[in-house]
Amino acid sequence: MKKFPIAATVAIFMLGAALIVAGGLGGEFRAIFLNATILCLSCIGVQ
Amino acid sequence: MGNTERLRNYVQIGAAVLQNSYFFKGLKFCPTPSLNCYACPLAVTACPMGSLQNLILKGYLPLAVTGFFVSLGAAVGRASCGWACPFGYVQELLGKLGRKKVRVSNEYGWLRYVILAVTALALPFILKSPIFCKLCPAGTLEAGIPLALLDEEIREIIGPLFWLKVGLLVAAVWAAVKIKRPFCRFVCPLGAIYSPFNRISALRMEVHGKCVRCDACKEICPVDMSIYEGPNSGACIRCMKCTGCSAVGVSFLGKEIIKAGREGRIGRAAYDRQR
Repeated sequence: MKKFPIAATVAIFMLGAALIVAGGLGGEFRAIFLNATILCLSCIGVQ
Repeated sequence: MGNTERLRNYVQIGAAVLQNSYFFKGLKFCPTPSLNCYACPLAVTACPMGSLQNLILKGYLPLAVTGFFVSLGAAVGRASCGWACPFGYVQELLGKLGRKKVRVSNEYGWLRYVILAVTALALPFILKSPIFCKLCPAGTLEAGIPLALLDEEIREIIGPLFWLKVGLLVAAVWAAVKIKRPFCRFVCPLGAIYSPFNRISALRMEVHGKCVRCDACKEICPVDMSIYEGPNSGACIRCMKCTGCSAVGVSFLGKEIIKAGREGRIGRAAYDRQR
């Protein structure tokens, strides 16, 4: 089977990095932090 | 136990401790590479599946979490399943309890894509609730049971769903004794996300032509696959246990880390020390 080109892998990695930056600028990390610090209680089946 | 396997053991223990080290809770903005419930009283980072569902149900387009999956997947494929997942490690330890394993084909791996699409994407969007979290056995083990044991108020609000979750955890534990890493192979939505990246990731498995196809690699493989059938298939968790055979190697960005076809034992004899 033909191998996937390394340059394309690097490009996909960079695309992921760009999405992380875009999400961060949109306040996504703050939302993740708030969500992770409140006790959501899904783990005991309650919300 | 080979050197790679010993290293992987240390990394798995280290990853479980780091993700649940209690201090540095300021890191909870950062998703971990593996399934690790952020409601665990010791957790310091965010579970990527929990974060994804909660962002979806709150109406966010989850760009950063998607980017995290894409970048990590492009770099190492499913290696985080094999090297950094505490629940995967628990399953491997449980697997050591049962000598006689029930063989289940990896063909049923499509189930985890259905679980991803339904419980982690569609239902959180429709019902505005993190449905996968409500069923996740890793969450029950790492957070549900410890919280119920530690907090009387939480014990008082426990309902039937908690006991369903405990039942699912018991089923997952029982299955892990009988079948190799069953949750990772057939259920885990995070594994489903990383799986397609195995084919394109910078970290790749290589099989040399001197492979004799003896299937000894399948016997020691934690996900029950023959590496020569598809070294970069979505089922592989990149644990590198099969590199004990000199016909199997690993490359990163095209550079050989472990050379496939190097001098050394091949086939069954190569794995004798790992059994």
